Amino acid sequence: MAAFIDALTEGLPEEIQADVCIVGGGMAGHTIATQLSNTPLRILVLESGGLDIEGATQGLYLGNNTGLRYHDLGHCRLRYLGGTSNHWAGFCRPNDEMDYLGRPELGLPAWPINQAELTPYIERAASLLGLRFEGFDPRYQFERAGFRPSELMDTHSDTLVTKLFQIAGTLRATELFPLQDLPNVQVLLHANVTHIQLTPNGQQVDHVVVKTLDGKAGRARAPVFILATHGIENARLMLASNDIAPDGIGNASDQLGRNFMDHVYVHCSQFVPVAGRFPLAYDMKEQGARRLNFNLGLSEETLRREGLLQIYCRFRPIDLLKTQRLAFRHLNEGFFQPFDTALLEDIAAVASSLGNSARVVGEKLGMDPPPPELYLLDLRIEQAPNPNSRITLSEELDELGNRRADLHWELTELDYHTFQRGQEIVASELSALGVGRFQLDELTPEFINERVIGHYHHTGTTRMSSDPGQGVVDADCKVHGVGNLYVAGSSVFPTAGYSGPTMTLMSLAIRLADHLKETHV
Amino acid sequence: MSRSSTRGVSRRALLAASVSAAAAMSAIALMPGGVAEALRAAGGRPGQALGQAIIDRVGLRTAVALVREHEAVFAGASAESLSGAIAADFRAGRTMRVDGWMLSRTECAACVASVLAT
Repeated sequence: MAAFIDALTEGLPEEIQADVCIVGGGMAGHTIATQLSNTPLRILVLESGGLDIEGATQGLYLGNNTGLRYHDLGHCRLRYLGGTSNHWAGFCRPNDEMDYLGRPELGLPAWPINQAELTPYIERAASLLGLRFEGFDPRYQFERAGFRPSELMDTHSDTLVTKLFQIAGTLRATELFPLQDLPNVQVLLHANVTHIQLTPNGQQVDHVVVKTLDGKAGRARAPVFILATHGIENARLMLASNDIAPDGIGNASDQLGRNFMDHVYVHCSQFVPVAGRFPLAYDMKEQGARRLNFNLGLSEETLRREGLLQIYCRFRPIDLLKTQRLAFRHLNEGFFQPFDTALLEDIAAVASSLGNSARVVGEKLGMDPPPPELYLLDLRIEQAPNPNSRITLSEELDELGNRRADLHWELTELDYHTFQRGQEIVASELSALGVGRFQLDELTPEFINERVIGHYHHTGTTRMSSDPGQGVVDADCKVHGVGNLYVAGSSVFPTAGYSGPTMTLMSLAIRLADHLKETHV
Repeated sequence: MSRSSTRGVSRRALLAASVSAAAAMSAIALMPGGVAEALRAAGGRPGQALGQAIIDRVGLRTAVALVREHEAVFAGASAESLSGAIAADFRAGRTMRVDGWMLSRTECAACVASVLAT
């Protein structure tokens, strides 16, 4: 059985030795530990939190947003065993081939690995998540879900492409990869890594400093260290460990902490479908019931011709019957209660739209509800890499005496242009196909800035590049200039791409584990 | 239409536009799906109100020209030919925004025509 040791209650050794030290027990850390479990290597996982969320530890994640309005840094990431997988929604899809190739004309760097190289690892990650790789084919899922393949928009358009996310059944890293079953893995809980100590020449990690919130301190030593603490903390810890490298570890390129990207979305505009012409496969409520996500993207040719980032469009039905539904509920609940004049409003709501009221009654009687008559658009884009969108060190200290992370988040002109022009193209093409009509909001920067929301997909802050002048880690996710430090997680992504990061970061973690098996076993 | 709203547009142009409008009115009924029907479902303004909004926005002269521009489209139009004209408009970017609605120029011409015909 693997050892789970709680540093708060069972003590923190002054010196801990392992063969591979993984800092962070999130999805990447769990994946690597599990992949290395069939080797003679002694694996140490240092996890800041415990087995569940705790205020004191979670509070270490507090930080400031100094740019565009973004999520609270203390809420958008989780600091206990399993990490941010503990609030992952499970959406999975491999990125497109073009996402790896780079588009220098748009400032998108190429990945130092291509889709063909990563695909075997993506297949393994999908399998671990209980997903069939062929299940990412929209045609396959259309048929399984009972939709006609002829309803796929791709059948009728060279501009629109249907892309599909499968939703994993098991979401938590702790459930996917139970580390307690692994005999060569030791997990140290409530063990906060506060400093990465480089050797005096800066070319190796000598040890990491570990501290508990009740004041204990120790060191962990290993021939190999893997930093897997999520997109913001990876950068913060490397920036803060600056006694030997004043600009931060692996920051000769000045890219450390920069290019913070998320997948950002806005709800906007309205779409009125023509009856019988809009396939319900693209209705978000219908998708939710089937645990699938069909969405509309633009073809590669269209994206390249228009100079746009990846964009997708989903259709969120607006419940036009909400008023009548609520009214009926109130009337039903208040039937045997003393008369309340508020019920007059409910009676008026029912009477004001007899058609809608009849539909609500029909639903109660088990009749199939009519298809939605109105949709809100859910537009999402990949962000362009922007060196000004970055993690920096705050002057504020946390309870361990570490400088907190500040996030300065920005969007670029290309991001705004992608939203506006992407919406126009989707609307034009669907209108041309006779599917419906759109009442479009003008997606100005001001409109976007007021409404844009991120998906908690923190990428880019320790990005990969074969060129040490352009990235923080190399194609093997090893930090440039440091022989035994690797980084795992979505912080290594040079671009955000079309899809969410979790399955891709798992595939990179599997690849890293295979690399370590080749080089260190 | 009121006298004041015809200022700057010749009677001959209006008469010609009205002829086109009559053809367009019958063409509107052929439009597959029906812009007006779709808009009504969303609580939007059916074709005639949209047509007036277009006239108010671009001026009567330009609106009449828009209808004249589509005479050939409306004349003897079938559902299929109208669908084709509308689709071609959207794909070529020949659209107008009216109250936020993205409509093809053919549809806009039909909406204006529905006003001119009254």
